[in-house]
Formats: sequence, C-alpha cells, structure tokens
Amino acid sequence: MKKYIFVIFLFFVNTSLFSSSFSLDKYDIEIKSNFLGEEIVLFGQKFPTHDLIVIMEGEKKDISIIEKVKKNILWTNKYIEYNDIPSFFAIFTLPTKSINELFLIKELKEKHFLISNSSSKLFKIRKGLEQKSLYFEKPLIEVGSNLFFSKFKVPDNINSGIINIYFYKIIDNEVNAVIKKSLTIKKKGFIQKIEYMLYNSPYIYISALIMFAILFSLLSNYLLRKK
Amino acid sequence: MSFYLPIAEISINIYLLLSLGLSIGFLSGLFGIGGGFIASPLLILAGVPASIAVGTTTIQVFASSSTGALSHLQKKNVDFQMGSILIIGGFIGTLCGVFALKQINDTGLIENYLYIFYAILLSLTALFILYEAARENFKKKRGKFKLHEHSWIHGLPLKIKFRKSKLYISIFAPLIIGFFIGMLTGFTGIGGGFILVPCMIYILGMTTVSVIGTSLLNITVVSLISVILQVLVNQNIDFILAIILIISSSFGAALSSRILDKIKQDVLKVAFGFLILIIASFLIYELLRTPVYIYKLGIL
Repeated sequence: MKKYIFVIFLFFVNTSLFSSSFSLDKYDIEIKSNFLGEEIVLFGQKFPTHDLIVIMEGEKKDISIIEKVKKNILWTNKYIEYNDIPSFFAIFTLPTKSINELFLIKELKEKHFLISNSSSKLFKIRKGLEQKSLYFEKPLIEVGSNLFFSKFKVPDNINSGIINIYFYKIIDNEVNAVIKKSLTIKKKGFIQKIEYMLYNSPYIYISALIMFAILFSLLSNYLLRKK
Repeated sequence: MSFYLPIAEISINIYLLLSLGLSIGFLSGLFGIGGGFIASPLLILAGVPASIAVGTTTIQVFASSSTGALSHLQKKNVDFQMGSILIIGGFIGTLCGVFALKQINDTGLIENYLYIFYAILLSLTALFILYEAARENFKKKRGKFKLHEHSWIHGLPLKIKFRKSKLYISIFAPLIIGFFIGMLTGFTGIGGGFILVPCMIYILGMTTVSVIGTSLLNITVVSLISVILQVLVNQNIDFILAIILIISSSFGAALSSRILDKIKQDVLKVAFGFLILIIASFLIYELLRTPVYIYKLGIL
C-alpha cells in the first residue's frame, strides 16, 4: 500500500505539481454499498519561506448539536440548532499550528466560520463534528527538503456534495497566496437509487418494502419451518 | 466486514447485524412474539439512529406477523368483528404515534424519550410476566383458575355482540386498546402483541382460540399502516437494514421452531421475563453512565 501511494505521489509530483503546488491522489469519491470511508493522500511542494495551511470545508448545512447534560442521576440531551455550518472541516498545517494560532490569521478567520473565534458555540460545533470524524486537525509531513504529504480518511458518514480545498501560503500570519480545488463525493449505484426512491417515489419504495417483506416471510415460512 | 446503510448513513458490521436478526427471530419464535420490542432497542444499542431503528423495526414486525395472520385466517381463528374495531383504533393510534415520533425527532430528544420509554415499558412487562407466571403456578397448584373478572370496561356504553368471541361488550373497550397499541406501533415500531394478547384475554375476556389470530391480524394491518406512514412522514425505513433483518430473523425463527417442543412453557415464560429485564437494564445503564462524547452532531 505504502509503495503504491509513493508511486502515485512521484507520478503527480512529476506531472502536475509544479503548476498547482498541491494535489490529492483522487478528486472523486463514490459512495456504494461497500463504502467504509476512503483514505486520501494530500501532497505537494513546500516553500522554505512560507508556512502552509490546507483547509478542507464541506458544503454548508443546517445542523443540530446534542449536548449531554447531567440532571440528577440521568444524562439527558440538550438540543441546539445551527444554520449554514460546514458538514466537513479539516485543517492541515506545516509547521504544526494549534487552532489558537490560526485565530491570529485574519484572512482565515474571515473566510472560514468554524475557525473565526474561540467561542463556546464554535467549540461545541467542532467537537460535534469531531465525534463523527467530520472535523480534524493534522500536520503536513515533510518529505525531503521541498515536499510534503498527509493522509486522511473521509468517513463513511460523509454527506454527498463538494468539499472545497484551500491551500494557503502564509508569511508572518498573513495570507500570501491561495489555491482552491475541490473533492466531489457522490452516492452511486444501488445506494443512490434507494435514497432517490425514498425521497422522490415513496409509494414505489413502500410497495417494494411490502412486497419483499411478504415474499420473504412466505418463502422462509415454506422452506424453513418445521413440518 | 461492514455494510453501508444508505438511509441510516452509517456502516455497520454485517455479522453483528446478522446475529442481531438471528437472535431477534430466534427469541420471537421461541416466545411467540413479533420481536419488535427486542429489535428496536437492540438496534439502537448497536448504533443505528433511534428514528431509523423504530421505522425499520415496523417492517420487520409486519413481515413476521403477516404469515402467522395468514395461517390463522385459513384456520378461521380470527374474530373479524373484534379485529376491525381494534384496527380502527389502531389506525388512529398509529397516526398519532408517527406524528409524535416526528415531533420528538425534530426536537432532537428522541433517544432520551425512547430510552426512558423502553426502559419503563420493558421493566413493567418483565415484572408483569414474572408475576403472572408465579400467579398461574400458584393457582394451578390450588386448582382454581378464572380467566377474567368483570371490570369497569364492562360498564362502558355502546355495547354490541361479538358472535365469534361470544362477548357482549362496549365497542369503546377494543377501540381504546387498539388505539393504545397503534400508538405504540407508530411511536416505537413494536407490534405490541405482548400487551395486546393479555389485554384481549384479561380485559376483554376473549377466548384463547381466536385471540392469537385476531391479534396477529391487528398487528399485521396496523404495522402495514405504520410502514406507509413512517415512509411518508419520517422517511425512516432503511431498505437494506430491513432486508437483512427480515432474512436473518426468518432463519432465527425457523431455528427456534425446531427446539420449541423441547422446552417447558413455564420455563420459557420465566426466561422471557428475565430476558426483557436484562434488555431494560442495558437501557437504564445507557441513561446513567457517563457518555463518551458530550457533544453529538446531527445533519438536519
């Protein structure tokens, strides 16, 4: 696997890297019935004079955060709704920076809501996303003197849509240059058809469910029950 | 090996799911129940979102009760008059249950309500079953056994004759019972046979010959109505999860039918009571233990 990744790495480095500064080993993910998440390699060229920050931001959705609150002896849920929150968020840095250090970079704060301040509201949202592996902070690993890479996993509970990838070159806590790319996630095959049927043709979905339930229960009753 | 569930939007281990289905089918075959009230909490404990667990359990209940209902229809063990009143009550109850589920799901507190509800329901049922088993045993030893006694139910107005069951009672009695069972089906996904059957025997005073067939007919029709409403209102039935559950639970039920004759009914009843008590304890433990994650996210 490592060998395979390295070959892809070298191939991309030689072909497209110098025009774009960073790349992924794939830009399209298909969610099928055997989808268990997908590991992706992010790699590119580093610059000795710049700090690098890569931010991946999923499509904005309305979300809910359920906070566990202890009432007497029971743990109950406290429910809060937020609008237009990125459904996936990942931060990669070189050299490694904590989220508190990112708060010092004005352009990043203005561009990305989830790292715009250190409020408890955003902390809760980040923790909620993190619990579902939809938020993480990772270092970019240096390879030799002018390359970097990092591996990350797009989790199985990811929503279909587009993840925007922002590659920032930073000097003295100011953005010097930014490159944007995107990663597309699509539901495919049987999975997509089932979801489409449920939301767009619910009566067909119901009929299929009922037919299957009757058919299989009759069949199993006939074949498996003790005479 | 894991499998992606498109509506639940999670991956789940296929062996865990198959063993769950097998166990549900095995237990439902062994104890003569639909298995819904075991399936729904077990699916939630396995990590399936609560709303999806409730919806998907409904189709499993429909599948497991429909063949039983058919065979009782062929044997003419069904009181259609009683069944239709139960179903009318059940329809209204299911409607209320499904919309109550939607309301609570929208507030994000569904797990709270379901855990507490299941814990209370299962604990009470277990205690009732164990109490009944002990009482029947005691009565058998004393040689006295009366099926039902007249209660306030028999004082309700609008009485009609139920020829098949040889009863003269108010239509409100089966209507109220049907409504309550329908509400349970819509809100929790369970068929409610384990409550309906004792209600029909002890409260309505029906003869045991037509009780099972009539209750199965009621469960089949009400769960069918619930399946339709759950898909239209809550979109919470996962097709793939349903397929795996139906197939594996059928195998489980077939397995249990092969060993059923070898176990005494009294022993089965006590074992069933303890089993429900164990599931209830797990749910209570979930409510009491310190959660691993304080914050949990949901995409609306």
